[in-house]
Amino acid sequence: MRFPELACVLALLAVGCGTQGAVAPEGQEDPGVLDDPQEASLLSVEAERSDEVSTMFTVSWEATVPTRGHVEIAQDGVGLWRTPTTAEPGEIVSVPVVGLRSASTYTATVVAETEAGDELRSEALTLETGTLPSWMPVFTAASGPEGPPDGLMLLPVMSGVPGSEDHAIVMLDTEGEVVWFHEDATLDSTVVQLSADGQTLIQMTEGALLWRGLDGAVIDRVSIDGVHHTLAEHPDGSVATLVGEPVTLEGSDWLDQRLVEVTRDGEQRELWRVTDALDRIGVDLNDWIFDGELGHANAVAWDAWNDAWLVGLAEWGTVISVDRATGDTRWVLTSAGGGDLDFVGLEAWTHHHTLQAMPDGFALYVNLTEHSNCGRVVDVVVDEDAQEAEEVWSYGGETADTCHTTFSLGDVEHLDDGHTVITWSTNGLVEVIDDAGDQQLLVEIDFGYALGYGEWINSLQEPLDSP
Amino acid sequence: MVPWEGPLVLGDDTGFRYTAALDIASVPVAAGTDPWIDWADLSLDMLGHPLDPATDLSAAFVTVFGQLGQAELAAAIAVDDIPQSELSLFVRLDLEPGTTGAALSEFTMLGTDIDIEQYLEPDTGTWMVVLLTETDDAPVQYRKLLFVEPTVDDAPETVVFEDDDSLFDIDATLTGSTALQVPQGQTFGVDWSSLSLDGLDQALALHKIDRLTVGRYADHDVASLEAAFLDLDLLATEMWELDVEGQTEAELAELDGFSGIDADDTWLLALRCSTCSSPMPMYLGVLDALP
Repeated sequence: MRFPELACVLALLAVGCGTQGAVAPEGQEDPGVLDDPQEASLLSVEAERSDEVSTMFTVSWEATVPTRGHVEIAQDGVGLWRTPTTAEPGEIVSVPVVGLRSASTYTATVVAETEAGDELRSEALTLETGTLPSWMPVFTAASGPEGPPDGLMLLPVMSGVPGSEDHAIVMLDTEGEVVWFHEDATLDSTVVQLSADGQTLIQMTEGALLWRGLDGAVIDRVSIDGVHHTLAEHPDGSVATLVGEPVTLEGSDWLDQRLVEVTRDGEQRELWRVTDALDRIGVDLNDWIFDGELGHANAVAWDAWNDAWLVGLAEWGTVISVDRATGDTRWVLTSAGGGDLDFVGLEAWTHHHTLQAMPDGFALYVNLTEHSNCGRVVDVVVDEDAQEAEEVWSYGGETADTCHTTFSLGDVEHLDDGHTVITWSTNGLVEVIDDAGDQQLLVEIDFGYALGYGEWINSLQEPLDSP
Repeated sequence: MVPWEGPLVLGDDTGFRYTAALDIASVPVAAGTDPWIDWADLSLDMLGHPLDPATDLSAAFVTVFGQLGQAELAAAIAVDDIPQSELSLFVRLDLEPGTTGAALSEFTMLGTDIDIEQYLEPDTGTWMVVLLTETDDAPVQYRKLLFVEPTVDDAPETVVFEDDDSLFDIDATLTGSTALQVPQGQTFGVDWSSLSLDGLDQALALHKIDRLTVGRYADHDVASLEAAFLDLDLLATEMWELDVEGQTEAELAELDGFSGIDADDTWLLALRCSTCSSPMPMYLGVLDALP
């Protein structure tokens, strides 16, 4: 959308900063005081509410000189937070404002900075958010004594309630209030991820990946026959995902699982497939059948420390490291009989969901083991030289105060600040624990809904006193 | 005559209050089997309303609640406060018209066959079968519930629904402590933005309200409607309905054919949620005609 086309103009301002150029009266010569076309001032400031996301605004400003800047949000005269500072200076700048609650009134103030260091501050714009749709479930949040870290929870919501939308994406604040949402019954929204540049949400639909703007509009779509389950973004913006492909093995029909990298312009590159590693997994195909899928691949994570992708095969209790450059299988950890790594203090498992790569291993959401239906998350250190995989931390499980039997999905994310976010998906719970394992936030959803693979986002809002 | 100044503001003290109980039968079934679930003989749902088992049902669920006993679960269902966190297994079967039974193995989890029958063992949680009606233009209705107890003792390999398996018991008071007085013979605005509690005195989420209804009852006073609370929709002489999703106020002039209330009949105003699992209105009040 071009700046002059903004439909909802809430303010049109000429906000001076410093002195306006004085104009010499007609007929007089005043060579020392001329209009300076580079005089720094804001020409206009506008805010437009998204047509698709009634709690999201795009605030834009035009200045006489290139500026970078941010938007400060306040309510009832009290400053709340600000958007991150824009990356590149421009004469026309647009900023997505995400984090506003529904049916509420806020003010937004643009703070722009010229390349010379001058600050241009607009008058306050009024932002009125819309209401939530009736299908939106109610989230209930309870904080621990220290409270959770700042941020927003990005979550897919799946409904088992007839009559409501089957799939939606929401963002919640740390009090469980919905601040962003998008409903789309066609989405396979067990997974959503904010792109590294913070500008788009990466989602999956049947046979395609989508890049959706924060205003709710689809920006890019790449068709991929057989794409399923999950995705993970590489820092270069490409996305790894899983793609099923029929294959005949030992006279039987199976669905092989390919690891494919996809770029937003549609380029697809196969890196690896399960049949590449069958011998090393050591599975007896006669013993493992799950809708004909080889291992039921359902997890992918980027391992920046080894330039590798981690792939999870749920029904075989298997995690595999795949070299990104060569597509070679680096190592196999499997509960299915073979593999390259010995289990050290780590119980074999029979079903899992998401993975997160860590500097020396990975975190894994384990749904089931042979003797327990209590879900848990584990951190595993991989020592390739010693050919060992050692459990070094876990949370949940049958020894915990509460046993969560998560019959589908499940997600774990360690944050940089030491907190861990666990999504007990079909239990409808998001739990944030600190580095001591103490619960600092528990969000619960209404009955009839489940949660998919989400993400803790701290890149869309900053404290007002951020530099 | 001084014109009546609206809108009619609905406060927490103006609406109905009720208590609810639900009696759900429990039947044994042979563990380790693939039982046939049979609802062919049903003729009443759990509200006591007529039910055609072959044509009125559109789906069935089987749920397992890991650590919630039957009594606790029934109580939670009655007050629409079921903890999702306790749900440890959920499978569904869409029903073709004419279907009056199904094997447990036909149920799938989000379309995936997980061989649900292999989990039918003792001490695996509280098993419940749910029969429901869902249509595009009406709220979902949970029609019948039945607990199933897997047992290794001599037990049948069929699960048979009967009319008295699950019945709601509601004790309702329709009139709030503050009356809703409105003028006769004219429409008016209604504002429910200040509501915070539902009929169970539980927190009310305003965004869940998506329908407003006004019912006229020519043959019933408030006391008889309280006694027949579960039949309110059936007993109405006339019913008007308005889509109010995303709103916290509405003009009743938008109700097609509604021209106001009179002093002769009983009038109920309700706010409802079509995406909620409870059949109860989120708000219900008695409209009194001003002299």
